[in-house]
Amino acid sequence: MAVHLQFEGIRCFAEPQDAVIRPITLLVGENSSGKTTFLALCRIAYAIANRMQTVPLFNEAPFFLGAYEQIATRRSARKGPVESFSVAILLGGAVPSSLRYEYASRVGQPTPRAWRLEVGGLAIQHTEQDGVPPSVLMRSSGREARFPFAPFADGATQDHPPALWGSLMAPEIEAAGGAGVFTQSDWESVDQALRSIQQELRRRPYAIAPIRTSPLRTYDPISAAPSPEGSHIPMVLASLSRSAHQEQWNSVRSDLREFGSKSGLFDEIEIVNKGKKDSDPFQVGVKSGGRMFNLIDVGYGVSQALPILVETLQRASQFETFLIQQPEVHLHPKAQAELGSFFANQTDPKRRFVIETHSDYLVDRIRMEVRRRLLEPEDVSLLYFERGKSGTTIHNLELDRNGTITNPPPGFRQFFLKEELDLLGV
Amino acid sequence: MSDVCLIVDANVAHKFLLQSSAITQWLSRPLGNPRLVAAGKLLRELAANDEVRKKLVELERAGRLRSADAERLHREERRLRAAAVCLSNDTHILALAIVSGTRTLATNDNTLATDFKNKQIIDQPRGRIYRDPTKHAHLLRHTPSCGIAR
Repeated sequence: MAVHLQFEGIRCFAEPQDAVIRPITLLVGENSSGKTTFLALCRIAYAIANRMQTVPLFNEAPFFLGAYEQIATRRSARKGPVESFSVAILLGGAVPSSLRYEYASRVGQPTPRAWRLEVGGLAIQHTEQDGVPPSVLMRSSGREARFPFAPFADGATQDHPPALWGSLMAPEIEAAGGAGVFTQSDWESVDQALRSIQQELRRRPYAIAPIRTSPLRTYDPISAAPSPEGSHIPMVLASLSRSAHQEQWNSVRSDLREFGSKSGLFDEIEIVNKGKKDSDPFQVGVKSGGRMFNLIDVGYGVSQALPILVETLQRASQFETFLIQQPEVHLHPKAQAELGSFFANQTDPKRRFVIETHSDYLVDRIRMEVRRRLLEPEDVSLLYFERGKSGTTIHNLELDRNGTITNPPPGFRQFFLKEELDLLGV
Repeated sequence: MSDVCLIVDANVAHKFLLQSSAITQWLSRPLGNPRLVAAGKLLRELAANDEVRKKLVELERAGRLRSADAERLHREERRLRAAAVCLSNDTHILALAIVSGTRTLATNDNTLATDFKNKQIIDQPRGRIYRDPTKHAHLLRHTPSCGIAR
């Protein structure tokens, strides 16, 4: 099922945007065109669907969007930010459904002031603005009711997400003024829509930062707590290699070996223990050209790629959405291209990859994997972020079975085409 | 806005794709929906030239290089050969025009040009030939000539 992320009034996205999320979603465009903001919004969408409406959503590593003032689009220097902004999840299909959250500033922080669930011709909306009693709007095929409704005396909209508003609360809602708007079947549709949205966004976001941590010569086995920069990766490798159950380590090592060989990055990754106890230090060894080197003594590309490779491989059995910034950093084009194949191979129904990239080689390879039938055109969403005078516009570029882009907007890759003409002197 | 398609014969690729002209500007500027159409044998012929290959790659990345289904292309080539209606030995180009719906061809080959304008081979609409890259860009902009047979 196609998942759309819709939003408006956020940073450079002044106008309404509608972006399709697929198993592999590639974000391309110039610097400061909103790609990282989009990654942050993917995480926010997950939270909306999974009842996790809290302010820090907008400021979790590695995406720090700031306070309301920094997040809401600025209309002008004099007018300041827009009064509210919105984020919505839309599911396509025979009966489209959507869940939209609207945020306004409260004590300087973005706070939900309304949500609206739509499914087919049904809509239910809860609004809670400062100084105005909370209210509900219901609409169904010609019938409509708007009435005050505050079922939770102590709380605000953010504490009462729509997931709580299905048929279980129907008696209270109808008693408060909504009687006769929804039928029993309508309430079931509402329940089903909420379940579908949750189901589609059940893949937990895992973010990987654009600059990964610098390698060390020796590591102490202290903590494997995940960090977007991947500082925990050596510890993850050590834990896997020291585990009594070697299947996962062997599997990860085998996949690393395959990637290393195809990309030309390395032959093998090993853990070199500097003692016999689990608490003894260890080093990360990189075998290349028949010799073993310390991770710190090989090209920077290896330590930059490892967090992406290891996290993707070791989390293979989990429902996850990987939010990855510039995986190509420090990699030779051969390895950049191979990363494209790596992501294509790692895609499965449980996982999504949302990848911000400036690498033509990575994008090209994923398109080639469509041509080779490893991926279907519907598996790939290529989002082009185009900066304009009134902000950024996201274009959903479609691929055909040859991996060819079928609907490029006129400005797509203009820099490259012009640069090429200039290089040829024509 | 519909796509505007052009096939460039390998023998004029240098002139039409690499030298400064209205055609090269048309292919690279953000006006209209220009599409260079190349697939199969023609694509291999064009890619044999290093500079043309780089140009093709850039056009492909920009979504401005249109391909065609290989199986349909082979089938159309076989049909043309069996029908024995072509004077030229460039059935791969004629088949590409039929399969992709492209009706504009850049070539200096008179025999191929004759085939391309032959109503029995290319029709609805008829094919047109461009020989001078400096002259035709304005016509391309106004000629939605692609997608007819997709």
